[in-house]
Amino acid sequence: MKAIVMDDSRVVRMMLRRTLEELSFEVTDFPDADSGYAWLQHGGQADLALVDWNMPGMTGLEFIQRVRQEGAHDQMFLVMVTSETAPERMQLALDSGADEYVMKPVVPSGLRSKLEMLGFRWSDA
Amino acid sequence: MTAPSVDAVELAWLRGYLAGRTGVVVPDDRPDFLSGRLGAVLRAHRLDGIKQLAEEIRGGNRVVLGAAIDALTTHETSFFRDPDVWAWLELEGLPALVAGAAGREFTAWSAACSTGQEPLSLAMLLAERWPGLAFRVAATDISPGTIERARTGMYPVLEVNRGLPARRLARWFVRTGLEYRVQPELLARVHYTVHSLLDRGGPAGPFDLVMLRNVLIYLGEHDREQAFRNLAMAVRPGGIVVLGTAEMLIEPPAGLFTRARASKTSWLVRT
Repeated sequence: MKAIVMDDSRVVRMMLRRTLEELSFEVTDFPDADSGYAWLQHGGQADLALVDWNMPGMTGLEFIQRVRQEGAHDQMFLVMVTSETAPERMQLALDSGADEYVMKPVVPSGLRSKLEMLGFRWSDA
Repeated sequence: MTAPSVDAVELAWLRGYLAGRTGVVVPDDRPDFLSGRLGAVLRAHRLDGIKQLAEEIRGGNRVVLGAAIDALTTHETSFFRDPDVWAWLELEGLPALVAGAAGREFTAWSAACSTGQEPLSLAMLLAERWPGLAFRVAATDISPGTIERARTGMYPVLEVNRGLPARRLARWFVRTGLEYRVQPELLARVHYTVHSLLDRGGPAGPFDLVMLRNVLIYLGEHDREQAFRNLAMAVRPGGIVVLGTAEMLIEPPAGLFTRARASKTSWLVRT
């Protein structure tokens, strides 16, 4: 399984990478949504994308809107990982095409439980 | 060889006494578990050590006893814990039970409900899948502090991040400061009371569905049987009991329930 991570915080990227790798994902990470988006445009494929909301350049919300509008990665699950905690923001992200929404701070068991909701399973479960 | 310390003697007494009250048996070889859990009680109630804690309990201090029970009974839980069980409930278990309850109120009991994630998950599912359904969820836990928290309907971010799909969070919760409060109309479907599974009585049934997950594994054989007998009285014939995924091998006393299985879960049907 392949995952991409977009977050402007190096610490968050490392934490998410480590958590996903423990869940057997092959991870590619990006410091912003623009470079993650460009990677997808150039043929990159992933089963899962974790994207922060607030980043320099393209926001996570714009990333989700664009990817969903283009329809070339419909099989890819999009998960917003953000410090935005208002239910209205959450609803906006979901209505824009996010499959799930995780509020920071992220803990590994919480992320895993969100991925289980999307249908990901691990044999030790 | 040295004589056991006062603390060791008192810990052994507490271990026996609390096992009698809660059914939770802490193995002899895990004194650290007990003293670790009780350490929080000592600090919270400014007690001078295990000996004083034991004296307070022997002296009838119900506040300290309640706190000790709180500390000893495990509270690990989350919304929609064990997705396979919930998927089965949504697609197979509940449709059959709800159909069987046509023309009357559907009743469920979340036994050992901890801080309320399980009964609220069930209430959300019922309200979403069967709008307009008359239903009631009784929710009990042995720990008074836990029930008190559950009644507030308030959950920190860490809790709503775990197990709860974002769509449900957005629909059923409002943010209040740093926490999330469940919508009052959902909270009103859940009726919380303090109750021990080892005691008779309990919430008014009979129930179509009882969820009792990850509790029986902590009980000794005798208490387990008592819990099953109490449950049997509360479940409607044809009603079901869902145990935890780690509890599929626990056999109830003969004649009360039959076991049924689907691919990833199993449940007990009241005969």
